[in-house]
Amino acid sequence: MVEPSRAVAPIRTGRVELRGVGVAYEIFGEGALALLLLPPWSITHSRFWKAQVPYLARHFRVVTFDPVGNGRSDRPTRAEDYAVGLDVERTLAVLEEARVDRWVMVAHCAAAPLALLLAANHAERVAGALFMSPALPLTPGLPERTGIDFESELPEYEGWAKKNRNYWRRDFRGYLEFFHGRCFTEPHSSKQIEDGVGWGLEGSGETLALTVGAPELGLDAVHELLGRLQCPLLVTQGDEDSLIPRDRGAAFADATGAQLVELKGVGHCPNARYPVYFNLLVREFAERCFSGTRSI
Amino acid sequence: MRARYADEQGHVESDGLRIFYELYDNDAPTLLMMPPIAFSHSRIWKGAVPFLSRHFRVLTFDGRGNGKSDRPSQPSAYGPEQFMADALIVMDHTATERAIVVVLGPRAICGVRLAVDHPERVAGLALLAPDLFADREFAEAWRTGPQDHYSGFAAFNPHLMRTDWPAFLDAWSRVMFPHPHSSRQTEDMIAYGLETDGDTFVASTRGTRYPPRQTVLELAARLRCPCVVTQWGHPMWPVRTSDAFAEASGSPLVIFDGLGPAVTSRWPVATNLLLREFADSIRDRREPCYERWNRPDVRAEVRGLT
Repeated sequence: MVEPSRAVAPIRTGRVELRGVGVAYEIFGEGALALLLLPPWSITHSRFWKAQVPYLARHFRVVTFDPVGNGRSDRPTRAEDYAVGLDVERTLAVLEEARVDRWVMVAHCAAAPLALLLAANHAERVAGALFMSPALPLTPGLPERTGIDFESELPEYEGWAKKNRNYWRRDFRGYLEFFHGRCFTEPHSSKQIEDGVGWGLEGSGETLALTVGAPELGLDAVHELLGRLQCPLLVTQGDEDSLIPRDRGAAFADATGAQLVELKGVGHCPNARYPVYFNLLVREFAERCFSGTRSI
Repeated sequence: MRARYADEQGHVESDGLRIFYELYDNDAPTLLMMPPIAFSHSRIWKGAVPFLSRHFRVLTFDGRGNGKSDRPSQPSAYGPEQFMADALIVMDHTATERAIVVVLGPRAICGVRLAVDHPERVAGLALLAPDLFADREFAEAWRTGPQDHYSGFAAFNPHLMRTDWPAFLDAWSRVMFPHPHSSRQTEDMIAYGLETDGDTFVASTRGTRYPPRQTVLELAARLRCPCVVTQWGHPMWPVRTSDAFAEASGSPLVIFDGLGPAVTSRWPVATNLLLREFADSIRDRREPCYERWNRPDVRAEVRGLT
């Protein structure tokens, strides 16, 4: 096992503390315009963006942070500490530390509610938002992921039944391998799966279970927030996504007027599997959002 | 889909055979990427061309025996002289007066001969994991008869190649790509291999005609252009097959410890940065510096430079 090496080092790292919970952040690049790459879920951490940061940091100031429950952030033991409202406060605190007043953000999957709250409630500061396979209840979830019993002991844990508190306690790695196998259905994804499992193991099943019980945004709240979005929006959706149904991106675009980028033959994580394509998309989108803007 | 498409491509005729070339144009010195061993072809450079062509003019061609070039059946069509002649015809056709020649593995002798016999055409010579001497680890497998079972170096067996070419490619891909996360490179290697056949490959290997060690070292001593020798510090091609050449030619030897054997495919960034530094140093008439890839997983040990 070799030490991981990084193509670019942060210009600054630090922690913010909010109500006794610490969040670790990193800032890359000297650009005048800020890009915020949100952590998708506590199953992973900021290294999820490893293929974006080195390129985008040449063009922007890139801000990343680890979610509570993974990476170098704290692992609070109460479910209420994982509420999305607190994530908003933490994100704003990180941006304060980074001296970023205005930003474009990228939100993958379960980060969508956080991005939605930021964009709707801090509209003057959000220059644009790019959503990837948004985990918002705009269309029915995949049948195989619907009606999963997270709490009960089950006779067997096949497929998505592995999303179960008891299974996580016994074989969290088994869940991580299954989960990342679904994230990366494209061939030649062994490295991405290995990375994802490794980052997942920096957290734990017990911690991740707290996020499952955390309060969520309801459908009405989601629609209310979507109706208030003002910034330029873009949504990507892979047609071979095995976590989020393929009609989700179009539904998001219908509800918001976002630019829709449908990716043929692509699964859940285009950033990791098609980084060059994805990075160019983010750069082009962010430059368009910032056009006319001179600095942070 | 390719990250970069050729600006010019076509066939030249050499010795009555059609040889396919591609030119990635640039107002800069030319890198001539020589063809690899005949189970592969010019697409072996797919990880190198898009990067290198931003900095240099890059010329590739398919070696006789695979790709879009013809496949003669006699071993005598595959000698170093023939590959050298193909390279010169491709250079003439593309108005390439001089080139920095990059050559990989068992075709290294073709690059060495090109540089020694035609010094006015070769501005520099980069030998990547050169396989210059006949005393290779798998030479024994080449000489043995049919076996019941083939794995590892034992797969380099002409009987297996001729009777079950896909089985050879499958077995050899495991030798070439022992590292995790090589599924794409393995798939490419097998696909390129399936573009030719076992009889052609056996003929091409017979025609390689490894000169005696002493002859190779004499050629090394006659080299006049800048040269760099890389080796992967991997048991398949031990450093000793390269260090003698580096020493005899007075060239630096860069060892990528623990990688390989197919570093050009599996760690293209390491190869690309090395080739860029080599070519830049020739253009700028300065000493090269090969120390910069010392990452935890790519340790470049440099010998022969003060």
